[in-house]
Amino acid sequence: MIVYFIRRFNLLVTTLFLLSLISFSLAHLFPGDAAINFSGQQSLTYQEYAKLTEELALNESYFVQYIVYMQRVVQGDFGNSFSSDASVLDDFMRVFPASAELSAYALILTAIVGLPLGLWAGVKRNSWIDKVIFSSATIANSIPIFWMGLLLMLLFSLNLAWLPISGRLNLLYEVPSDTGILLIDIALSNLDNKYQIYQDALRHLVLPTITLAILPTTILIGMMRSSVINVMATPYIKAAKTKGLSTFQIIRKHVFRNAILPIIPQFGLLFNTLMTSTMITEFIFSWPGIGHWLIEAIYQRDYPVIQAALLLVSSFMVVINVLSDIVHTLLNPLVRKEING
Amino acid sequence: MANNDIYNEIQYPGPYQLAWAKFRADHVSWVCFCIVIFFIIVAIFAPLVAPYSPTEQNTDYVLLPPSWQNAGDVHFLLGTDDLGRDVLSRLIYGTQITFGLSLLVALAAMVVGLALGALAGMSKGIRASVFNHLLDTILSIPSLLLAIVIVAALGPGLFNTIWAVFLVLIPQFVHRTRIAVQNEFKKEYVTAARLDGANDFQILISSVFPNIIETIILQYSLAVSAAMLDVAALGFLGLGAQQGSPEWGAMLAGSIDLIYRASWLATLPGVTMFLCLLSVNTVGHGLRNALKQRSE
Repeated sequence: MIVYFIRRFNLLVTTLFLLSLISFSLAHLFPGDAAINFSGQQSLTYQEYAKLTEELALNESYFVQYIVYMQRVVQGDFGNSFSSDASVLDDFMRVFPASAELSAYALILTAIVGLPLGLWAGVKRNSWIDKVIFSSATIANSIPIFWMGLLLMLLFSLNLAWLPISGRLNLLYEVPSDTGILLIDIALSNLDNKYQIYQDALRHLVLPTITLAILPTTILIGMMRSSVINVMATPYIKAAKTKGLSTFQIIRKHVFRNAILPIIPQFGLLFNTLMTSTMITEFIFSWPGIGHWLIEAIYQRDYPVIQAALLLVSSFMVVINVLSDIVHTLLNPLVRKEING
Repeated sequence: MANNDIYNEIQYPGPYQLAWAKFRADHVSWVCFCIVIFFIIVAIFAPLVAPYSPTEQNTDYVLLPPSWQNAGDVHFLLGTDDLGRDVLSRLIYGTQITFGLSLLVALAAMVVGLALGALAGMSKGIRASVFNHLLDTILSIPSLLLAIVIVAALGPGLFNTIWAVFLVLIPQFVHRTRIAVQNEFKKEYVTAARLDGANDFQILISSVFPNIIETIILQYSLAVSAAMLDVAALGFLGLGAQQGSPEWGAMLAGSIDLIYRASWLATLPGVTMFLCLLSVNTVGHGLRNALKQRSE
C-alpha cells in the first residue's frame, strides 16, 4: 500500500516537474525578450533591465535559470501582467473563485442529472427507456458546446427574454468581494435588498451552468450506464434477487454503491472535460473566470499570464487526477487487494 | 452442416469482412457512414458544388433569410450574411476547412503516433518509464487548453491551429498504440513467430499491425471528431481561422453580433457541424460495437 502511494507521489512530482519545465521554456519560446516575458515589466530603463537580468540569472545556463524560476514560482511570484500591470497571482486569485463557483454548480448538476439517468438506463438495459436515455446522451455529446451556448442564449435570453445574456450580476448591485464566491459574498454583505440580489445572481447562473453541465452529464451517463450493466451481471445481484429483495432494494443496497466505485478514477477525465468547457462557456457568457482571463491574455499577447495560467491550471488538473486515483484505491477493496497481492 | 457443393469452394468471410458485415447490419451506423461519405465528397468537390464563391459579396442581397421564409430568395438557398455572402457556399467551403482539414490532420497524427507508439510499446525499462511519464503529463492537460497554449506561442491563425491540433492528437494515438502493441506482444502467436526466428521489426509489421489496425481506425474516428471540435472551438474563440473565413467556428463567432437580427447565421453552421460530428461519432460507436460483437 505504501509502495503504491510512493509511486503515485512519484508520478505526481515527475508530472509537475515536466509541467514546470514546459512553462519555463515558454518564456523563451514566446516572441520577445525572456526577461520581459518572465517579469512582465515592459518599460524598463537600461539599469533596471540589467538588474532584472541579474536577478533572473538570464546570463547563466538554462539550468540555473530554471532553478531561479522555480524559486520564484514557489514564492508565488509569476511576474506582472502586461495588460493590468498587477501581479499575475493576484489576478489569478481574483478570477479563480468565479470559475470554481461555476464549475462546482455544473458538477453538482451533472451528478444530480447524470447519475440517476445512467443508473436507470443501466438497470433497464435494452428497454426503450435505455434507448431514449442513451441515444439522447449520444446526440447531446455531439453538440458543440459553443453552439449550445449560443442556442440557449438565442432561445431564453433573446426570444423569450427570461434570463440575462451575460455577466455574473446586474451592474446595479455592487457586492463587495470578500471570498470571490458570489453567493457567499452576498450573504456576507450588509446590503438591504439581499433577496433581489440573490434572485438576480441565480438568474445569471442558470444558462452558463446548464451549458457547462451538458457535456460532462452525457459522459457521466455513459460511464454510469456501462458500470451498472457490469454490476447487474454479477452473481451477487443474482443472489440478492433469489433472496427476494425488490428491485428498489437491490438498486439501493447493491447496485448504486458498487457501480459508483469504478467511476471515481474516471473523475479526472470528467474534470478535464469540465475545465475545457468552462473556458468556452466563460467566453460566451462573459463570465469573469479563468477561461475568460486566459483568452483575453492571448488576445493581448500577455505572455506572463499565459505562462502562469498554463502552469497553475494544468497542475491543478494533475493533482485532481492523482487524488481521484488515490481516493479510488482507498475506497475500493478490490483494487486494494490487487495491490497488496 | 454437410456441404454437397463439391465443385465450388465455400467462402468463409475473413475477419475484416465479418466486422464490415456487422457494421452494415446496424442501420443507424450505416446511415451515418453514408453521411460522412457525403461530407467527404462535398469537401473534395467544394468548388464544383458551391453555387457562389465563399467571399463573393452580393451587396444587393444583404442579410437575406433562408429561401423557405417569405423574405427569402431561392437564388440564395440558405440566405446571405451581413456582407451579402451566400451562406450555403460558405458552409460548403467550411466543410473543406473544418472537416477536410480535420480528416487530414488526424491522418498525419495517426501516422506519427503509430510509429512512436510502436517504438514505445516495444521498449522496456527506464526508457519506457520516462516515456510513459511524459505521455501521462501531456494526456492530463485537456486538448483544448494545450491547443490554446500552442496557438499562444505560435500566434493565432488557421495554419498554427492545424499545427496545434496535430501536436495535441499525437499523444492519444501513441497511448492507444502503445497499449495495443504491448498486449499483442504478450500473445502466443507472437512467441510462435519469434521461435521461427523473426526479429522485432518483422513481428511488428507482419503480425502485430494487422491485428491492431481496427483499434487504430477506432481511435482515428475519435481523433477526427476531437480535431473538428478543437479547430472550430479555436475559430470560435478568434484564435484559429480569421474572421471572415468560412470555417464553421469562425462563422458562428461572426454570427454573435447579428444573433438578434439574423438567427439563421447562428443556427445553420451549428446544425451542419452537429450533423457532421454526430455522424463521425456514431460511425466510431458502430465500429466499436461491430468489433465487440465479432470477438464475442
